[in-house]
Amino acid sequence: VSEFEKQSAADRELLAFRYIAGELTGEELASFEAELETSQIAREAVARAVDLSQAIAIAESHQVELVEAVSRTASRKSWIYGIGWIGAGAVAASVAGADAIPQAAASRESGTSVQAASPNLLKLALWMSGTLTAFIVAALSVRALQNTINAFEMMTIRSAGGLLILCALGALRPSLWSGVRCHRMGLQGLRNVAHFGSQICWTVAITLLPFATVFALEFTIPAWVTLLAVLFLGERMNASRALALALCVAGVVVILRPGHEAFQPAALIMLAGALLFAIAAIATKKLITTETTFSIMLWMNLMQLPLNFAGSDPAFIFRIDASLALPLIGIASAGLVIHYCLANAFRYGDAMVVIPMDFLRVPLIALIGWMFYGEHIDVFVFGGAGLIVAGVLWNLRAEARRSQTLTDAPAARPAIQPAE
Amino acid sequence: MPPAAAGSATLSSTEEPHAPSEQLSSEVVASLYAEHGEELRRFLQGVLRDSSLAADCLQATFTKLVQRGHESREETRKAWLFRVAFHEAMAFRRRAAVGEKVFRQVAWQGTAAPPSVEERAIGLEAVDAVKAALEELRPEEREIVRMRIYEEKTFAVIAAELKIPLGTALGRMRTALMKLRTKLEDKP
Repeated sequence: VSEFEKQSAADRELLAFRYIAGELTGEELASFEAELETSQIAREAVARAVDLSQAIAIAESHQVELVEAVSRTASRKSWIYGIGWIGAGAVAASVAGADAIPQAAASRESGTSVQAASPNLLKLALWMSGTLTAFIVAALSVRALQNTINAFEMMTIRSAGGLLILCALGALRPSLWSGVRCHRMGLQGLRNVAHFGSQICWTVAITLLPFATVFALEFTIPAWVTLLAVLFLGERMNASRALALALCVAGVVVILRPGHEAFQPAALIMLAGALLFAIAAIATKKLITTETTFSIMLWMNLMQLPLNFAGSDPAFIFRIDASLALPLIGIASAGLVIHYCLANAFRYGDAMVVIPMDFLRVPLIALIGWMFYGEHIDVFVFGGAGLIVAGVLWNLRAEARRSQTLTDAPAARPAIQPAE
Repeated sequence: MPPAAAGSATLSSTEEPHAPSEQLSSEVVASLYAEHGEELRRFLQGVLRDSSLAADCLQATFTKLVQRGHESREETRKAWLFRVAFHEAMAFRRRAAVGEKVFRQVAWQGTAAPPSVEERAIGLEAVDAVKAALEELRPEEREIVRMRIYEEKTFAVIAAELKIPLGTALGRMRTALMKLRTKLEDKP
């Protein structure tokens, strides 16, 4: 038995690998080639090392090709969905008229659904398709930008874009400026900081988790609102609210599966984001009683712009090229489009119809994630999201009944919607 | 391919003492090629660090098998083939002025001939298996493997870039190679 054969298998493999890589010293090379003269084990180690090296090189190049292909596909898709989103926005605007924006935004931010004035399933479906598309465009835009800019930089673009759009609206309707004042700034600050945190959580979650998991966890926002309202606003915890909360908690447990190997700690970021969204929504509900929508949104963007910029590289804008134009437009305007389309959907159908349609976001984004990003279709995410939405619907139904009994009026109860 | 080269290599002291009179039949040669050809090609590629030279050398080896394979014993024929192949490779290196030029080429270049559909299908399966095995490595091991094999950096460069001792880089590669070998051998 030669010295080579006396070595451990791992040492032999490494020596053979260094031999084929041309990394042996002169002495080692002569010694190893002497082994090759006589040792079949050494020869086979060389053959194995070449085999493994080739396979790894091919696997790595496949990996690079796959990443590049996904990136190219995502880039192409962001264009396609961007165009789809612009089309949906154009259809929506032509149907309802742009003057609905502030009202729609207010209703969504405050979590108070607009009364379904005239039920119309076709128009409802149109507005909901706009909502779903805008949500998806926002998520795809984040994925398209994630390798170029960070979450703060994306939200800087969003705040700046929001300010531009609001200024344009203010220029078109100067009367909007009359409602802007420095009033209840503490509450404004609380709302905007919570909203800032929630947006960052959502954006980071989109980069770390499968799309469907993020969207499913967003549906916990109404549960957080209920809990916070009971804890801090003195609202009563009744049986239907408790059941709704229990269903939401069960849904979250099914999605997260704590203690199981499938548990993804990043999901906690999205849960924290949902909690912050809920805080922002409750603060909005308080603010909307005295402040105009335009004022709330203007202060939001004004306060969030420096916060976002603080987490950004000051020169980040120079890293962006023309190929990212559509994802940037998506980031800058998707929020407003979601507000607009969702609130208009509530005009043509109450929450009991809108929420299940909104739930379509989960399978839709899961399909897109599966097709273009290789994400697994996780039955637990669907099951958990189903439980959460069942809880939300149960609560809506109970609140609507209670409201009808108390006021004898057909009511669509306040519905805080999952936020983008 | 240069068939003339095949005849020039000598077995010298490595020749087997047993020498039946008849040459090996074409069926036996074909069977040996099917059984050991691919492994021999990889071995030759490792020795020569050049895929086209390895293919030429493989051809020379099997030419030698046809001419003198009957002198070897059946039970040691695989080792005989590898020994002949190694000698052929050494002769190629000496004779063909391969020198430093070949040494600078990577050992894992693709084969000269394009793979068949079957080879590609098998290759894809193997790639998937390797990908899965790579995923199971620790990140620091995977990084070394990637830098050495895909980025073709030397261990000295890798150690410098990662700010780790050369021995640590070699140790990680050693562990990674063993894990990969074990995992890939476990695959059906």
